[in-house]
Amino acid sequence: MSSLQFEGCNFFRMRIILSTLSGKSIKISTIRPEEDDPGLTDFEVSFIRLIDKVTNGSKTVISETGTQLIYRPGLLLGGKLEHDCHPSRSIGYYLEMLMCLAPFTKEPLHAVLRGVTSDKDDPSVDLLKLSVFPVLKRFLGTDEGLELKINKRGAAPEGGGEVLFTCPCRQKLRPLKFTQPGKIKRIRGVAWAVRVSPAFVNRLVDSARGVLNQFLTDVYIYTDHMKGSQSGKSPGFGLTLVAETTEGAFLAAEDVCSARGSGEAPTVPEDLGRKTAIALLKEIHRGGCVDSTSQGLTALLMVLGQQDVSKVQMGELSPYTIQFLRHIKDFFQVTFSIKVDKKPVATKSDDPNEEAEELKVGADKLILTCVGVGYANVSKPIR
Amino acid sequence: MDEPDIKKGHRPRQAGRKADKKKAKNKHEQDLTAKQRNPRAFAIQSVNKAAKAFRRTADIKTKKQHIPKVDRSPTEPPPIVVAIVGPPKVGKSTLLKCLVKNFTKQKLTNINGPVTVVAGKNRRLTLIECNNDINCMIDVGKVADLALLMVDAKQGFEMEIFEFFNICQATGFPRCMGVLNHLDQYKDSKTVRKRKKQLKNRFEIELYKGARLFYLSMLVNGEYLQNEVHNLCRFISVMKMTPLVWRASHPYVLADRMEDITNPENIRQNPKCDRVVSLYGYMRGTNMKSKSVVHIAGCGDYVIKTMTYLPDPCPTPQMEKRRSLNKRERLIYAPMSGVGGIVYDKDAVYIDIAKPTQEEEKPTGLVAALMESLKPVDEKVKESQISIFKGGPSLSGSDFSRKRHVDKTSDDEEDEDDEEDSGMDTDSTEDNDSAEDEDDEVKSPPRKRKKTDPYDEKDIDEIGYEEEDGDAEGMEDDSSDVDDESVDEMEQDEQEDSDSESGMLKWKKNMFERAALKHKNRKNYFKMVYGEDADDKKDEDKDDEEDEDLAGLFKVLKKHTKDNSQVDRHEINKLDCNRAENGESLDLDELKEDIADSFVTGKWDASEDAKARLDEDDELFGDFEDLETGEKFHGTKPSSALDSEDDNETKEDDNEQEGEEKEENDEEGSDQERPKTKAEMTAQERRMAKKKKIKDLFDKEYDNKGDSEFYDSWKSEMDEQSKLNRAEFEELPEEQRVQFEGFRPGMYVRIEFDQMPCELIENFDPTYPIIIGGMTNVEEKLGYVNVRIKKHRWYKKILKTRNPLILSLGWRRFQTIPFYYKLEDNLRRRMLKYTPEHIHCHATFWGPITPQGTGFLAVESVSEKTANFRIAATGVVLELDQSVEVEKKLKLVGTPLKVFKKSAFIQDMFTSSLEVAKFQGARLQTVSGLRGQVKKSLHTPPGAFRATFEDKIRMSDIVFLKAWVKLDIPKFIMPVTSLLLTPEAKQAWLGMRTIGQLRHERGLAVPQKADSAYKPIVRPERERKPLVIPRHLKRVLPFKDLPKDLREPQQQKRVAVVMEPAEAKVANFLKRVKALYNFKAVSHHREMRQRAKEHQKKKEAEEAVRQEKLKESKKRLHKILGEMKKKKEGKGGNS
Repeated sequence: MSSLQFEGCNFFRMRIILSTLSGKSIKISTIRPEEDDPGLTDFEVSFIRLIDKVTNGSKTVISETGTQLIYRPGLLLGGKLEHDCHPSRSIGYYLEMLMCLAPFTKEPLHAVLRGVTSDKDDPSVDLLKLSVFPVLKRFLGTDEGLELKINKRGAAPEGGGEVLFTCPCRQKLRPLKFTQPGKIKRIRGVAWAVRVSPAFVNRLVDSARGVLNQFLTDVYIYTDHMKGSQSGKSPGFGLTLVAETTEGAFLAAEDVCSARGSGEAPTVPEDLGRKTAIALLKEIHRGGCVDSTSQGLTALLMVLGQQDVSKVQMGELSPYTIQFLRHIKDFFQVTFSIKVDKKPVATKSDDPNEEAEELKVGADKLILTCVGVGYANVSKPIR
Repeated sequence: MDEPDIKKGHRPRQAGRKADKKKAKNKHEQDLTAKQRNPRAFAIQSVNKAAKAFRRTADIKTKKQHIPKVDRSPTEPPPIVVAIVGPPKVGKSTLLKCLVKNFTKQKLTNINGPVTVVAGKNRRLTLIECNNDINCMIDVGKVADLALLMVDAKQGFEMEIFEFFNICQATGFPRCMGVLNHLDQYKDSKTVRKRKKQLKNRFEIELYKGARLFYLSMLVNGEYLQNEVHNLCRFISVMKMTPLVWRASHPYVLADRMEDITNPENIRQNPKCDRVVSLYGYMRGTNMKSKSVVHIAGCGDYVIKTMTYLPDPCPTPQMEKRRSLNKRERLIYAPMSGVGGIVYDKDAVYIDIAKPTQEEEKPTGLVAALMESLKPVDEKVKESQISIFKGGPSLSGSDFSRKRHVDKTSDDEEDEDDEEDSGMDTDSTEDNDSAEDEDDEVKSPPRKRKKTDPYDEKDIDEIGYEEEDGDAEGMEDDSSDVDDESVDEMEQDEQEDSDSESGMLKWKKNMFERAALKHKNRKNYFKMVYGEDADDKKDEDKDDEEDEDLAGLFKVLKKHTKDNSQVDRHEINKLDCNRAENGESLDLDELKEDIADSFVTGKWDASEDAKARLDEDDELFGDFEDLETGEKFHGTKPSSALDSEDDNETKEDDNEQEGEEKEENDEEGSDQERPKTKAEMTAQERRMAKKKKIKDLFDKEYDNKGDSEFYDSWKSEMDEQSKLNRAEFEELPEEQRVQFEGFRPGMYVRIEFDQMPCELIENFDPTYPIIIGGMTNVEEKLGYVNVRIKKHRWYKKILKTRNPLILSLGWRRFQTIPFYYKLEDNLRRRMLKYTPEHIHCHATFWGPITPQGTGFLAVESVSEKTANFRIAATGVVLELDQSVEVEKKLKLVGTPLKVFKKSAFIQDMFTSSLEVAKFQGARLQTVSGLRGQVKKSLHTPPGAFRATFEDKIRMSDIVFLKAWVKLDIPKFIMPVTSLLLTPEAKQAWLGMRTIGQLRHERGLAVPQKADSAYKPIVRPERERKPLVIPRHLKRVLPFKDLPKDLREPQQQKRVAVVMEPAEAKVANFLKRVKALYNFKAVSHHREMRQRAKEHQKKKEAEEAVRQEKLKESKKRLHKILGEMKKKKEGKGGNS
């Protein structure tokens, strides 16, 4: 009935899933009108196809030039589905949004996605598993049935990877109260390589450890060198690191080698390892209870909770999250209260005159608070 | 004699006064309990019995527990809706008047619409009367918290009451209370008592045991007895309401005031134009968001244009000690009936400013009303356009305001401007002006003071900036003063900061600066996300466009020379990716410096550290705390001393980071003094204390909590959440709070709608409640709703699939076409043509998406005038979807055309080869049970196909194909727009009619298909073939087994003779002649017999004579002969 209008192809996925969740239809116009190949691209179409598989009764009308799209959402269906993701974007592009929808389906989602498992633009499947899953678990209550299995790895550009994502569905989500991130107690990670020398992973691990061991001794990076049919079509390697805190917050960062044929210089594993480690440190610098990848999802699921106050600490908001918050306001009329959390102060001595020393925990931490809209999963049947 | 003198020992008295005294003095007490004394009696005798007993106690305990829920009830609840329901002429209006009189001590003559009164210190009531339209009853059932069911004692319970019970049931059952009226119609007190008892029993059966039924015995001067009404009121004002699921999760407003604020000019031009309507009422249920979609029951779905909160027109008195309300506090607010300052006319609003006493009573209501009525005028001013020159650009009122706003920044006379500004404010934002006024007053003095500051220019800038904020959002109203100062000082400090710091004053300043910085930061983050202000931007855009228009003839091609739009264009088509570039290029060392404390190896937070440690201490070493003095404890690290010794012991319990933390603390606190008490303790003492502590912990965990631990923790979690919900936004100013939370229940709100149908205004009837029901996000959508439904047992008819039905689901009332079905064991939805009579079935229809578990009720007609029960069915929503498969069975029948060995050609099942192609591979079956399969179509005849079977079929077999056909469920939904109808049409809304009704109205017969008619079954007798026994067999058969031809010889068949008429005539003549002849012959014969008889007689007589003669002659002869013989003998003898 009520419809929202947007312009441009940016934040395309976000609009589609928010529309699906809120039931409001959307119209997106001026999609790349001035480019050489105007209109929707393959990966966006592939994303729409995926949404079409997950939902029942959704209707998409794309104009002849492809620069305009009208989407009328249906109800979320879930169940078993398979999708060949277009390899111009990695599976993370699709999976990220699927994770937002998965708790509200009619049947538990069991999705097999094929394509590129990690590339430069999107979070890889490893990253999603390490950083988003803990957040999702807090909203769902348990992680029973929540799984992301990497059957095959496929590096860009050709892909050939396959992941299995399963997620239980819920009638209602739990409100989140997560304001104390705690301190980082361990660092874990996955170094993976396909169709390159197995020594690459060890080189990655060594260089990353070289950086991280200055902060913490408890660093363990798993190596994952996939062979044969599991190794996809293109060569590649990458590293995903995650820092776990005492309170169960996970901050993750990753990097992958430049894709073959991308025109960039070939990546040296040592450089990559070091770069990733620094990226992780930057993520830690940003801090918060959820990392930058899952900020958007966290905000969304907070809004889609019951009519209770949810509170979470985050690091500085990424531009993507900011847009997410704006869109949430458009679709759900929910405004977040965003406050800067006061910095923790170190234990001070008994001299009252001396100023309490602030702890060095990186950038500003924000407290995001919102009241849920009382969203209930209308798809799930009762007997 | 030396015997020792043995003295008697003392023998105490065993009985008597002294003994009693002694007994009383030291009473013997049994120091063992019965259980200890006699353990066997308490031992488990039977394991099974014990288990049973245990289970029973556990059951009882668990039954008492309710699923914990987050308590979301508002701190100041909205007025309770009390609805008075009952059949006509039962005394509803009189009761309403009496109630109002009792609460407010005012007598109202004409009550229309809801009346809000203050009932007590913290209770308000909204009283509404429900008429007998079923639409109205359904709507009232959805919002009423308490229903007073008026019953005429003489008439007993009428259908309306029972219907209302069922309406309530479908919406979650609010509280119901019966009021028995017209008891004075019985003269005899005994019959009155009997009748009361009888009705009470029936009422309890219908509701629950102990349901309350009030009695109103008589009318005095057109009113009920005062004490009876008073009792009723007291009961109402202490009644507890049941929380209902639907209402707890949906916001709603029962509008108690409606205003048409459309431009009168528009109405004059087109009386049927869409109206701008503002509705007023208390928020109920849960929080409602501005700009959300709502359903107005009986009207339709609308998007809220604006929503604002108003001062409460009927607030609860804020008092603590006094018990009763004084006259001033007994407020009443009923704008629709002209109380509370406003009187409604058809197209005008009159403000009642009559009596000063009344004015005193309800100052808020009046003020609110005044402020509201200003609004349209103001808007008019804004919207009105003046063109100074003919054909020139027109200036609107809003332009003026904006111009002035722009001017302000350049103006030097700030104070004057300020005042103007505040004036504008009061005009434009009518509802919160009082608050803003105050703000302005508060603001002005510091500004004056600031003028003396050396940083004057900056100040002006700042103020301009701040004012924009204030105008725009009011977000920073509360703290803007502090902002300004702090910002200034910050700027000062920044310069000073570059110098090396020294002294006490320095750090204080530092602190301030930091606070300011933080403050600034907060503002920035919020604005970074939600923008400076949306409205401002829009205005600017408009300005630009206008300018371009003004540019005149030449059309400026909008190539977006402006930077920001260029950026925008680029921005909106950027790559959609969620990868945050960590912009700051910090190198490793800087990073290391910045995040050193993020790791467990870093320093710990004071709160986390000391407090956490204390708590932990409390758990493990609480005893120690008791021994030491408070001051010492605070000053130092209490546990550090302990740790060094007990490290080994505690290591198992603590995880690694705690260990590390402790070590660090050790290092830190090593130079500080340690609690002596601990040091003084010996190791053994310490160990003992620790053991005790651990034992206590263990006990706490296992002994006291029992099996309710899970439940308790769950409950406490919910309590915590509800506390957080209440506390989180409590300190914020109302405007911000509304922004974050939405409009809370208990607020008095004004909701403005655009494009409302004019019928709503024209056909407005205050007896019909206007309910603005909020919806959660998906509920505005339509889809297939699968429900479990049951025909009501009191409803006379059964319901038919495809017949339209009016449902009340959620806030809505609509007509739709349900399909009833049965869920079979293989989960197939098999269509039912009619609902079963006494059991549930499922149904599916096209309707609004409503959360699962919502109840609904169905009526077949809202216009029907009937004495019968009108609720057709009730049910609950199970599932929602965008497609649904309801199937019905279809049996296709065919006959063999030609039979081969195991395959056969079948015809008559399909009409074309296309159809056959669709069914290729389908299962077939013959009557005799042979299974087969459709193979391929044949060319001729069309629709014939080849099929194979498991055995040879006969030509006489019939072949079936059992198929399931998916049914198309029509996407039909028709809202019952009862509010938009004229008073006459309200009672006569029909909507879609059934075909049966249409036929009945037009007098058409039901078309009958000849094929469908039932005919007597004619079964031809089967002709059996004769039994043929081969000759050679016949030959050897014994005679008894031989077939014998026992048939009767066949009779000659007579041939019917059909004659020509002439012939017939002849024949007839002959027949008659023959008959005559026959008759004659018979009579001749008779005569002949007669004659013969006579002749015989004659002959006999003659014969007799002859015989006589003969006899005579013989006699004579014999005499002669005798004589002759004698003579001869005599001669011979003689001779």
